[in-house]
Amino acid sequence: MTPDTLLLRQIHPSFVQDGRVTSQAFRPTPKDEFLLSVDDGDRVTAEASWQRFIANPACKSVGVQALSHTECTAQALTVIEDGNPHPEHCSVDFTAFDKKMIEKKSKLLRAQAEKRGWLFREAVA
Amino acid sequence: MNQEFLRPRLVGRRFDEHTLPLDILKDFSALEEMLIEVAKRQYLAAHPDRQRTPKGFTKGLELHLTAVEEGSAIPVIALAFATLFPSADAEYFDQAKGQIVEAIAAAEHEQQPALPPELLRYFDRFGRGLHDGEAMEFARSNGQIASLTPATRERLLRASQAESWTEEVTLKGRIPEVDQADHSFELELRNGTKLKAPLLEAHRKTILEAAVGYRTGVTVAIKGVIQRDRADRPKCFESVEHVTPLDPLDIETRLEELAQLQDGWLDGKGRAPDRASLIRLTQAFDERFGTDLPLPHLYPTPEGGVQAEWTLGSWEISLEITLSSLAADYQTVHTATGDTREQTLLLAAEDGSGWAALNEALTQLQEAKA
Repeated sequence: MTPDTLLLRQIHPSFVQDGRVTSQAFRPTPKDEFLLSVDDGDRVTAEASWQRFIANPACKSVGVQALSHTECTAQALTVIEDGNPHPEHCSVDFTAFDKKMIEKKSKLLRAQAEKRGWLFREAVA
Repeated sequence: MNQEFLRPRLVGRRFDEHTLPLDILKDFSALEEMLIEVAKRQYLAAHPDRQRTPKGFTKGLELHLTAVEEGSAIPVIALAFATLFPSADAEYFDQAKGQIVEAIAAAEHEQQPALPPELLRYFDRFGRGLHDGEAMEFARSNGQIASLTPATRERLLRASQAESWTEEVTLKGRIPEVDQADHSFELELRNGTKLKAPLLEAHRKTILEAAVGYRTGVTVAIKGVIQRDRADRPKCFESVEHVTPLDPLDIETRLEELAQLQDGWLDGKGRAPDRASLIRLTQAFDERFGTDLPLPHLYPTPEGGVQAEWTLGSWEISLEITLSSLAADYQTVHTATGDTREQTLLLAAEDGSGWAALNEALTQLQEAKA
């Protein structure tokens, strides 16, 4: 993984309105034990990452946006290459921060991801 | 000459000011037609030797609205005769009125109305203008009240054995198809149901623009009359009164979308927001949110709440709302400097102070952006 590595994040359909993605998509939910699930963009394409995600019928995604490793480091967020549940899986570690700090970081990450745009978007029928 | 005939009491918010919306007069027009038909039946029942009513039986007979009295609103309706003296046939109109009121009372008490099915079908138009929570109350001959409500009307229509009936509605959806040769279009509801509707010249431009924006989610609200079948499924629009393009961030529409979420909506996790609380939030936004402020993007939260977000220049703003209490955590972050402002807002406060603080904070950021 390099500083330029993109960390791929699946975007749930309810987390998009009129094309804008919520900052909630860039922070772990309370049940995620403060770890944000991403895929290593050096090892899997955005489309392949999306295909694998939606292969699970319980999971929904309208596409893929990304954070860079540098952007995470700038927010004092460690990226863990845990390889679980699949080899390219990583976790962005928010454990050191309280709720308000997590929300602040998610806003900054969202703004950067928005500038980068969608890496993959589900085709609309 | 005029003879007072009917004094129904109209109950509901629209009638609280002791006035009548013009819209409801259509219902009384339908009642007039129904009275004439029922009166004809009464006449023929009293004269079994006759095949038809005498020529001029209804000639010169009309219902006239003569006054609107208080309580909530009581239209005073008179039977107007073209002649100097009441017609001898007026008694059949009195009997017809009694039969119609008794049919309403029977339906109210979940009994079979005595009127034949073909006459009950007049309730397709008589009572259609009533909204949920409204009623027309009629005095019965025994001194009790018969109340026509949307629910009573539906029972009367089911008793009429009609395959479908009409209803005044406002429905929201997208326009997937316009057939200009056929002067029609389709409205696609959120659940995928498509309703055919007549395309009027006055609505053509709006409908065509909405059709172009179908893929990008352009939504319109259509007010009109739909046909609904016995299984309560909407079939088509019979007529269209208004077509209104909706803002892509229309708050009511978005919160209606969020009300469709089920528990587990977020990849097996995520609580569904409470529907009644979403309605309360919609009303609060409608009444208290600054009209000159940009509308928020609204998202569900995994905890069953709603998060409103705005991007104003370099400011990223969020308002995380707990629906049960309408307590909200406001946070704004400047993406270049990291400057952060936070406050807790009580949006349920009766004095509106929570909303005033939100409006003030957003106004400041909007001005800073400009």
